[in-house]
Amino acid sequence: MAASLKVMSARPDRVIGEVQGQVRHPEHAVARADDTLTRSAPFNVFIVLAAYNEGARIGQTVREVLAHYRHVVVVDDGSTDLTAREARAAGAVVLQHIVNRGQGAALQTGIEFSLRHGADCIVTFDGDGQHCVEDIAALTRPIEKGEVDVVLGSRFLGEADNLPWARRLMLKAGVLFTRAVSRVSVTDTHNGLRAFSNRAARRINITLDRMAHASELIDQVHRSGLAYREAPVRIRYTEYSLQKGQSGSAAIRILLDYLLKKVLP
Amino acid sequence: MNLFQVLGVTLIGILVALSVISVLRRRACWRSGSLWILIWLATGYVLVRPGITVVAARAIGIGRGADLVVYSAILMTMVGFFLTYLRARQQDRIITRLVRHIALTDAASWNADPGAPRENVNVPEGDHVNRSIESRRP
Repeated sequence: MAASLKVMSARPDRVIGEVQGQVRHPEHAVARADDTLTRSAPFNVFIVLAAYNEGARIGQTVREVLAHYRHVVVVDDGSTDLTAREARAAGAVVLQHIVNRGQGAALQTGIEFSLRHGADCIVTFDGDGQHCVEDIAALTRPIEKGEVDVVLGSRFLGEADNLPWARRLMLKAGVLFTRAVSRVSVTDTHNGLRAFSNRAARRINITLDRMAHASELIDQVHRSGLAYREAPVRIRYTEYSLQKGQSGSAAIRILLDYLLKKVLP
Repeated sequence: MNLFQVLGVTLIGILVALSVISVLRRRACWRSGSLWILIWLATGYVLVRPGITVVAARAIGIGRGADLVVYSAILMTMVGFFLTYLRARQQDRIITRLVRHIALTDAASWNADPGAPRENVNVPEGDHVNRSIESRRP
């Protein structure tokens, strides 16, 4: 099947090259652009989505991702709606937690499944439609080239449409806190769009099941000595996704969970 | 002895007997059983001889024996809460590991038999209530 492979820069709105070639899926492409990229073996990218009661949206999200990537893994975290059925019908591989354990636990399950199935690169992606599929390439490309092991998406380097000011304030506070406690300098500590190489995924072990896993992940990446960088991504805030976001009291709980993990066994 | 001491000593006696029985029936190891027996006996002694608390309190710089008892009770309660919290965290991690193992094992069995019917384990047809774990398996 002949297709056109657009090679994207770190800013997704800029196309820096275009290659005509025989491709089935982007990760199998043999492409030449500004910098030569040749791969004889396929670079298996697994997209992991943790979903809890996302039945209304998960099918669309899965179809959007499947249009670009072959391996889509949805971890249904004990949903009480038809999330698993919708995801399966859309074509994803679905793992099911029989009880709700939290996003951190669901992502770790998806990561372990992906590693067992030969993933070279694992991308975590939100199931509520906040993330843009087009941004994934900017995260996987540096890993495929061997430049880094982890790429963290940052809405503050990219675009955050309709981000409420209160949410922005809370996220900025999270960034400052992470810098103070972990001494890790990133611009967006709670962005669900991240990419890990196989090596990085094997070193990571998310133990904080709920939302505090985001801070724990950054901590582990930093302590492991893995090379990482940030990449700009877009976040689409809709009424649906804002409902699912964290309240102020939940943010305090995330903070306490993370601090307690650092001092307790 | 007053009525409170009589009732207290009776309760302590029952607790000591239960601890001894637990050790003899091997429901508890002798170390923890012995520790609890000592604790009950010490509590019983304080009940019978409350004046000992005054001696102990003055020895460590607290004015009244009753204050020592209250402070000790608060401290032991906080320690108990903390240990319970740690255990709850540990159990949380164990539950997550179990849930993950089930999810990965199920995925492997479904991959091995793609034609097998795949049910939504949490939502029966027309019903949006979580089913129990026992009713999940055929």
